[in-house]
Amino acid sequence: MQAVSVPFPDLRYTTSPVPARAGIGLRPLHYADILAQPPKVGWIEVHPENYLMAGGPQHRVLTAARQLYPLSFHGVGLSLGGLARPDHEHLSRLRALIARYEPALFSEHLAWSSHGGAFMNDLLPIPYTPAALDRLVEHIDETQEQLGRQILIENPSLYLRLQDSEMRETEFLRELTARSGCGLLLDINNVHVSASNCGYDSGAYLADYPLDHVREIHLAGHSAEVDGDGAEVLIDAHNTRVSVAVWALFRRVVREVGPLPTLIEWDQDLPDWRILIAEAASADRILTEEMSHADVA
Amino acid sequence: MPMSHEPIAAFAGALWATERAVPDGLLPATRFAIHRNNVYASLIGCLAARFPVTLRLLGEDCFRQCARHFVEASPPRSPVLLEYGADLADFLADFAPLRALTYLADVARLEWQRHVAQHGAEALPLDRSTFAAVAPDLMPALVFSLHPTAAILSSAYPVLSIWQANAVAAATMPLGADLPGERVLIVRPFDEVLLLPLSVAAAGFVRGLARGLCLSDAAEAAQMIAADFDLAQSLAPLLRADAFTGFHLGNSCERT
Repeated sequence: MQAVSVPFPDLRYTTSPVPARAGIGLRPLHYADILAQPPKVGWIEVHPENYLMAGGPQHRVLTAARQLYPLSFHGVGLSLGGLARPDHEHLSRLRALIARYEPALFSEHLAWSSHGGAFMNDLLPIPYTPAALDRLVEHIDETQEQLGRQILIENPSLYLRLQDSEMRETEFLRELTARSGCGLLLDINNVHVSASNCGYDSGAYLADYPLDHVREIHLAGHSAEVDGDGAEVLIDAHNTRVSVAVWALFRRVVREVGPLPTLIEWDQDLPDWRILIAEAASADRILTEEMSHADVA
Repeated sequence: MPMSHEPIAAFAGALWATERAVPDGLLPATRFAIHRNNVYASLIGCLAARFPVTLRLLGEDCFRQCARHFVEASPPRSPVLLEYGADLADFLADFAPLRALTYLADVARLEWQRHVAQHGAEALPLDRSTFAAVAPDLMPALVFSLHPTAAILSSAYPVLSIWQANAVAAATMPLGADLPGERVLIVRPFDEVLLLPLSVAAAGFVRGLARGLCLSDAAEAAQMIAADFDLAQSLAPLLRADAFTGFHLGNSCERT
């Protein structure tokens, strides 16, 4: 085919996808750092809800950062597991933001966060039932149609089990991908936290998890607290380094499915910028080591 | 209210229930407290970050208690938390335990207006050299366009002085009890939100310009408020603050 000359190509952003490398969640505390000395990370991720304003410095920073890195949107507002259909106004605002920044990935959660018109700002657990599955499939269909793209769904951090659940989470996710066509965001810290809190084995969870649908991985730190019964409970606080146990699970996943875009999430008690970059470098090292491991094998 | 059997509805009902109910069917039930804490702590934290001077005036504990009552009374209606807190000032004004702090609601209003300006629409401010080049005889007929982030807050209390005395943690400056009310122009032409004190007449002048009055008509309206209103002295700080995006010649002002 002959090359067609395009007189005014749209050169605003690189159209490259999010690479199978480590990325970082970009937070306002690090705005000056990322622009002053752009680090060698593969991509960046933000919560689109934090950019749904008309203007201001945050848009200027994201615009500049977007020119340097591929971008992923990690939504926290659609409440896809809720009883109500996804909010159409919110979807259309997201669509406009997607058109503006052209993120290569868009993810959301296996959770609900709104009910009766009120937004709780927490990712709340859904019962793993056939009825909840039907509802979620409808909500994902509607979202993918409105946004005009595949979305990824992230496994939650569970602190408790709902007695109504009839299916395993892995079974639920497998059905969900098959019926809605969504991809998966595997949050390995959430796997570790949920397994510890609900008393199951994280290795067995991963063995049953539909890894072939994973398009992105999240890594984060958690904290250990004591619950009302005096038992230890892990909190998905995103407030510290990735734990040794989570690094080990990550290596296992990469060995099995190969390198994938991997995000370091850090949302509370944000560290010095260099510590965040060092965590990303650790993830990159494992991605590279396992790749060469696979080459040798 | 009877508790729903639908697990999500029951969970939501219990989250907002003030009697700290725990829904059925959770294993273990005590961990419901983690979610309740996540909900309140994150929303109160959002308000604390958005209203730092209101927090400083009330103290951390008192602010958090008030914010908790506010969250219970008006939870966010949208997942876009940038829009949360618009009615905190009205809530504080009506909140009986704070009735003695008459000025507090206006301080919260000023903080909300700063937040709105911070994230408001972008527009390139007026190039001052363009204005300087206008022939003097055309000046009175100029109609200015205010920057889209510009807003005026008019208070019966010294709201700007209170804000300035408390915005920087290190600075504490005693304020007299008999300070008069203040009016503030809030505008964000570039990265920083600017707060400009306005006299009563200057506030009337800016409101006139915002309504589309030409310079001479807006000045005339301001002179009705205070006979000593000085057009040049009032216009200069507005231009320095980049409060305008442009101007044109108004048709209705040709008589001047």
